[in-house]
Amino acid sequence: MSKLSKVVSLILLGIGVQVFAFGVPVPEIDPGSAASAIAILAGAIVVIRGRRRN
Amino acid sequence: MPESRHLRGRLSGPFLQPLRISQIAGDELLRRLAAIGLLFSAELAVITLCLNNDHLPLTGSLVALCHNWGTFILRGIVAFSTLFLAFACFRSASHLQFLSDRIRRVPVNRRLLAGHLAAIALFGLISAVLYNDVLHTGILRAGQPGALPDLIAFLWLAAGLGAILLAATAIIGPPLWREIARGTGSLWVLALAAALIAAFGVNPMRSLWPQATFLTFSIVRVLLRPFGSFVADPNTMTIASGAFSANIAPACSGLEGIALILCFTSAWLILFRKELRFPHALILLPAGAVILFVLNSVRIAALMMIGSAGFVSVAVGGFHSQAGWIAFNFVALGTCVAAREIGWISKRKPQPVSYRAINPTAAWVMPFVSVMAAGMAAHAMTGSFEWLYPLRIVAVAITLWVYRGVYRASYKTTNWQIDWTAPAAGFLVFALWLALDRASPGPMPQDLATAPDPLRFAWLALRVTGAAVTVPIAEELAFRGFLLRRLLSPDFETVSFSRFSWPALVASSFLFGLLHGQRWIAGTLAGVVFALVVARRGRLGNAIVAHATANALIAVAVLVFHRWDLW
Repeated sequence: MSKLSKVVSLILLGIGVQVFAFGVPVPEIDPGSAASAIAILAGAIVVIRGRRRN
Repeated sequence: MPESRHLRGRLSGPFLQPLRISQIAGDELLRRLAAIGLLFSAELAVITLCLNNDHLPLTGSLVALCHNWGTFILRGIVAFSTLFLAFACFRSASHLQFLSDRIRRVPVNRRLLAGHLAAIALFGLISAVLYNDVLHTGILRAGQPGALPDLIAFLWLAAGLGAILLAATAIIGPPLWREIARGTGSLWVLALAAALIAAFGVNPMRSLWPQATFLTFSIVRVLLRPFGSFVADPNTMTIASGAFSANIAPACSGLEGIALILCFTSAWLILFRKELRFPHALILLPAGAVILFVLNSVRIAALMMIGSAGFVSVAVGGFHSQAGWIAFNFVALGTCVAAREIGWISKRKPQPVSYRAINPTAAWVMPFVSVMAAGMAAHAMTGSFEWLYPLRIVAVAITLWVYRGVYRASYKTTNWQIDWTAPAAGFLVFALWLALDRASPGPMPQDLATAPDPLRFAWLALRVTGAAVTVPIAEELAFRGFLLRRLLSPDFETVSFSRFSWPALVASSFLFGLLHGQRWIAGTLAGVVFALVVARRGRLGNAIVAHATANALIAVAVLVFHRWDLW
C-alpha cells in the first residue's frame, strides 16, 4: 500500500473515531436502529464473500 | 541471547519491513488485547446502562469534575486506545509479532484477574452510593459542601483505575507492557494528538453543516419540483405542502452519513487490498460519499411526499428514522459488490457462472438477514406501531423456500432431532428473561387496542407465529448454525455441532445479545444456553425448539399477563 493510501486511511480512521466516540445522534443515523442495520450489513457481507461450491 | 539484544537484532535490517496486519491477526498478543477490549467493553456497557450522569449530585469539586468531564474523558480513553492499536498495527506490526511469540509463554494471572473483579465490585458499590445514595446517608445532597463527597469520588476513581490496571496486568504482564511501550516509541503521543483532534474536531466538522444543509435543501427542491405544490423557503430551510412541512436542520445535512461510509469503505480497502487494484479502487471513496449525500436528499424528498400524501405518522414515526440506515446499507453493500465485481477495480478473475453453484453461507444466514431487512422495511412503512410485522414471516418463508435444496441436501449432516433439554432450556431462558427485565409493565399499544377485533386478532396471531416459529428458525440457523461454527473454522459446514469452544460460544452469544438492545445481558445468556443445548448432543433442532419455547412463553406472558413491554 502506498504512503498516500496509508495517510488517507489514517485520516479516515480519525474521522471514524470522531464520529463514533464524540459524535452526536442525528436523525439520518438513528442509534435505535443501529444494531439491526449493522446486523443486516454484516450478514449480507458474509453472504457476498461466502464461498461457492458446486 | 538476552531478549533485549535479540529484539534489537531482529528490529534491524530486513526485520524493519512491516508485517501485514493479517499476519498478526491470529496471534496471541492480538488475542489478549482483544480479550482486554472485550472485557472493558462489556463492563463499560453495564456501567453506561446502570449509571446516569444526570444522577450525579453537583456537590464537591471532584464530583463536579466527574459530572462535567467524566463522559468526555471516558470517550477519549476509548478513542485513544483504538487509535493507538491501529497506529501500532501500521507502524510496529513486526514488534507486536515478536511480542506475540513471547506472550505465549506467559499465562494469564488469575490472582490479578480476581483482584480486578474485586475492584469492579468495589467500584459498583461506591457507584451505588455516589449516584443513587442507596445507603440514604444524605452526604451527597446537591449543593452540600465538604470533603466527604470528594473523598468518595476519589475512592470511586481509584477503584475504577485499579480495576483497569489489574485487568491489563493480569492478561498482559507488566514486562510485556514495558516492551510494548518501548517498541512503539512515541506512538502514544501521535495517538493522543489524534484523539484530541478527533475530540475537538467535531466543531470544525459542524462548521460545514450550513453549506451542506443548503446543498441538501437545493437538491430536495429540485427533486420535488416535478411534483408541484411544494413551497420552499431558503431562509428557514423549510419545505411545505399543505399542512405538512419539514425543516432541513443542520444535523440532517448528511455529513455524518458521509463520515460513516468513508470509514466503512476505507476499512474495506485496507482489509481486502490484496484483491483490489490501486489507485483505481480509491474511486470507491468519493463515489460512496456522493451517492449517499444524494440519497440523503432523496430520503428527505420522499419524506415530504409521504407526509404531504397524508401519512404523517408514517413519515415522522417510521420512515424518518429508518431510511437513513437503509440508504447507508444500500451504498455500503453496493461498494462491496463493486469492489469484487468490477474488473477495473478488482483483481479477481471473473468467476464462471454455473447454475449448479450454491453459496452454503447464504442458506444459513439469509433467513436472518431477510427477517431483519423485512423488520426495517416494516418500520419504515408504518408509523408508531408495526402493522406490517407479517412481512417478516413472509420474508423468512420465501428465503427458506429458495434454499430448500440446501437444507434437504444437509439433512443427513444436520441433526434436526430434539430431546427433553430443548423445552427445559426454553423455560430456563424465559425465566432468565423475566428475572433480568428492568422495564416496567406497559399497556397494549393504543393503535392495536383501538383496532377492529378481526384486525387485532389477526395481527396477534401472526405476531405469535413470527415470534415462536420464524424468528427462532432464522436466528438459530444464523447464530448457532453458521456463526458459532464459522468462528471455529472457515469451512464451517464440516464442523460438527457437538464441537465446543468457549471463545466461539461467548463471542457468538455476545453478538446475539447485542441484537436485543437494552436486554443484551439476557440476550447473551440466552445465546449461551442455546449454544450449550446444541453442543450437548450436536443437535441444532434442540436450539430451535428451545428458542421457540422461550419466545412462545414470552408471548403467553404478553397476552395473558399483559406484559406488552416484553414485545
